Amino acid sequence: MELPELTNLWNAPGSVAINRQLLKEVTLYKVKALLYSLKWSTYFELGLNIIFLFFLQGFISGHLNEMRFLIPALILIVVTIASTVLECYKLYLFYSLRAESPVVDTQQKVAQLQYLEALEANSMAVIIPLLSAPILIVPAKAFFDFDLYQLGNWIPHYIIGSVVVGLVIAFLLRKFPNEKLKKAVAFLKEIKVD
Amino acid sequence: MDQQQAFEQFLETHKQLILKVAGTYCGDSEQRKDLVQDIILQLWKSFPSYNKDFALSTWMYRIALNVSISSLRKEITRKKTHEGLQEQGELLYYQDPQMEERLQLLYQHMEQLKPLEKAVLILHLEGRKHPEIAEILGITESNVSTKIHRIKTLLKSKVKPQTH
Repeated sequence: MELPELTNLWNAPGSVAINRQLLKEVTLYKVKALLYSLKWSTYFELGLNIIFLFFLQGFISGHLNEMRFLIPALILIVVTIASTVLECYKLYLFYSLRAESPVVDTQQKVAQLQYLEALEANSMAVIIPLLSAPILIVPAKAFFDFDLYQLGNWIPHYIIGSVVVGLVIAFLLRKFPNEKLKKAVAFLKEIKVD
Repeated sequence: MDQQQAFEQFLETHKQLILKVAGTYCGDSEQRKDLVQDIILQLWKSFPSYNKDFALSTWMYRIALNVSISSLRKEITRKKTHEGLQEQGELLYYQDPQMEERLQLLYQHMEQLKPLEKAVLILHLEGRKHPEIAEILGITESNVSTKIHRIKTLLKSKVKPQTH
């Protein structure tokens, strides 16, 4: 075949249509694919929280008159409820990413997800020391009927130790944030609408 | 006009070329859908940072050809990004099915060429002058001339494929 024939074929008039709905969704699919692992880890945490809440509710109802066990269990249940609300909000943000929304809205939602991740990381510095003792006292009593208070004055030292652990974990989580989430934010910044 | 509208307008102008470039580099229709999406996604990502010192056409050709050539190196897999989109049809499509058939004949002839030769031929068919082809592809003008000569010889020497 000669080049002029190819040129004629190449330049032959033809009408091309754009699937506009799909075009809008290309951006969203890219972002959602990046957030895929975040969604499933959130579901996993939510599932664990719900199981733990059932356990705590049963434990509390059985120890209403024993303040030494009731207080640690209440601390655990308050933190677990707060965490559950946070996980639900993250899922809401994920599912509210819509193709028909302006890109700015998507940007804001993904930025919020990133903020929540950072908040969770920072809160480890407080949550780990706060939960360190209750997370041992309550299950020890529930599963082995063992009273950890009998072991002497270990709680203050243990909490001080967990402060260090909490700070280290918070630092590591901030230092190595969720890469996919970072990519999603970077991608949305690249296609930013001014 | 916001970026999204500006990009849609840009795509309206260049949609046929994107489809033809993808067709040249991808024989398989499913992979071609992926390639069209990749090209458009890359164009969209780069659109806000487009440097106005360069011609828009140069920028667009470079991206479309770079994405197409690099997609040949990595095996196109069913990425999660595309899974959902695949079910919803194609981003760009010919309204006249006969047009696609005619272009298949063209793609068959271009199949024998190397990736860079395909890029040279596409730009030549688009009516681009040698200096512009050289600038877009980052090769010398004499190299462009040599490649076009080789392409002409190759096309002539090949037996016309059977069409039914």
